[in-house]
Order: sequence, then C-alpha cells, then structure tokens
Amino acid sequence: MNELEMHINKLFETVTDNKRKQEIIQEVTSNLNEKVEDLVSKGQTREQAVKNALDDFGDIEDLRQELESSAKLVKTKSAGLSLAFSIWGALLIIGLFLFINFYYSAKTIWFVYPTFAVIWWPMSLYFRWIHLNKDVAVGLPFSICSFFLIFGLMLFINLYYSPKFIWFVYPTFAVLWWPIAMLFHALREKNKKEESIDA
Amino acid sequence: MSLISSDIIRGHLDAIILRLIYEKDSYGYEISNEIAVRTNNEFHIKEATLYAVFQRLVKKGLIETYLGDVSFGSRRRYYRITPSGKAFLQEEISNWHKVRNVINIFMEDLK
Repeated sequence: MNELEMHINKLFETVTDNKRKQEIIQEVTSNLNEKVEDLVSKGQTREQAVKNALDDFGDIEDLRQELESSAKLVKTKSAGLSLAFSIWGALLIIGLFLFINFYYSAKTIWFVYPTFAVIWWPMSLYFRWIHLNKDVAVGLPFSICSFFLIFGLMLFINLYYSPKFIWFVYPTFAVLWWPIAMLFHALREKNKKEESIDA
Repeated sequence: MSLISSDIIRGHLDAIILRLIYEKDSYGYEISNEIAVRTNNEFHIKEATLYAVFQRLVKKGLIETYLGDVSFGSRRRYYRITPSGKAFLQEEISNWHKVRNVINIFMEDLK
C-alpha cells in the first residue's frame, strides 16, 4: 500500500465498513493516482503531487453522510421485507392453530397461547422497522404494546378459567413496571438532550 | 485570479455534474478536470464533494455507474445519465434561466 492509499484509508476510517465504501475507496484511489501522475507530468515532484492531490481532496463529511444514508436505506428496506414476511408468517401460523382448535376441540379455546407466542415476531420486527425508518426510540411504545399483549392474555386466562376469582391484577402489576420504567427513562433522556442544547 | 466561492455554486453542483455526464459518460477525475478547464480555473470542485454528488445522483436514479477500462490497477468507474437524469437536467436548466433573469434585474446595472 503506497502513501496515497494509506492516506485515503485513513480518511475513510470513520465510515461504516461495507461494500459501497470499498468501491468508493478503490475509485478515489484510482482517480487520485491519475491526478498525481498528471501533476508529476506537469513538473511537480511525486511528494508535492501527492500532497497537493490530498490537500485538494476536501472534507469527507458530505460523502460520509451520503454513504451512511445509502447504507441506512438498504438496511431499512431489508427490515421492511423481514416485517412483511413475519406478518404473513404469523397470519399463516395463527390461521392454522385457529383451524386446528375449532376443528378438533371447539369446546376448549387454546389457540390464544400459540397466537400470543407468535405475535411477538411481527411486533418486534415492526418496531425495529419504525426505529430504522423514522430514527426514533421505540423502547416506550414497544413496552406499552407488550404490556397490553401480556395483560390481554392474563385477562383471558383469568376470565376463561376462573371468572369468580380475580387474580390477573397480580401479573398485571408486575408487568406494568416495564412501560412505567421506559416512560421515565424516555423523559430523563429528553431532559438530558434539552440540557445539552441549552448549555 | 480569485476563485469563485463554493457556497455560491453549491446549489447547482448536481446540475453542473449532470450536464457533463449528459455530454459523455465520464469518471471522477475527468469531470473535476473538465470543470477546472471550462471555468478557466475560476472554480475547482473538491473531489470529496464530487463523490458525494455522485452518490446523491445515483441514489435519486439520475445517473448510473459501470466499470470501464483498467487504470492504475483497477477498473475505472464511469457514470452515465439516465432518462430521469435527462428530464431533471432539463428542469434545472429551465429553473436556472428563471433565477438568472431575476438576479439580473438587481445586479445588472451595478458595476
């Protein structure tokens, strides 16, 4: 690796490693090598030519942002495809269990249990997609949705099996701490951000 | 000779580069060289800015890339304009004429 290539690799150090970054480095290196040869043919020494080529290269910040945004777009599209797959998959699995439940044992409702397990799949991928697409924190809304999912299951089991004895409040109390903790965490982060803006 | 401030040109870089690629398929160094030659060295585009513009134009689908002949151990990356790029360029040229006419109203008489 010559001096020019070393400098170029150092310039791109802060950029996330991916195929596009390697292609850009190769392209930049090739073009800068041509520029150096041009400057040498016009009478500069090789050291002067390399120095001038690197000085004229400029600040890589705009290029870094474009590369990061392209990489993010690819990641978001991939997350979108995973979400779509999980929704179809979950619907198929839930549909199958619904059929088996009502075909073989219509008097006992049990499809809610595998449904509860499967529904976490598209739900977590949905929040991951939102986080990548909108660049927002999803901890709080995810915890709220999860709370209602667990609360719904506990309520169903209680009322279905032992409607005369109310016990769902106990697991509900335990799970409620999750969204409450996430709420106060989000408020604390918002406060920190406002403090750093004011400073 | 004073160089033109890059802040003034910044908003038109996409159109400038698209125009050069429209004329013929080109690669990075050829384009930066061409800009310096055509402006009589009044304007030099930084290579980092040029590559950022390439990324932006490719992402918008206005240009596409392909690998060409070998140079300095690797194949040169060429850029060519797409039909969307040609339409965008036409629009930018039309907008530029409107902007130039407006600015001329206020700048022309002052020497």
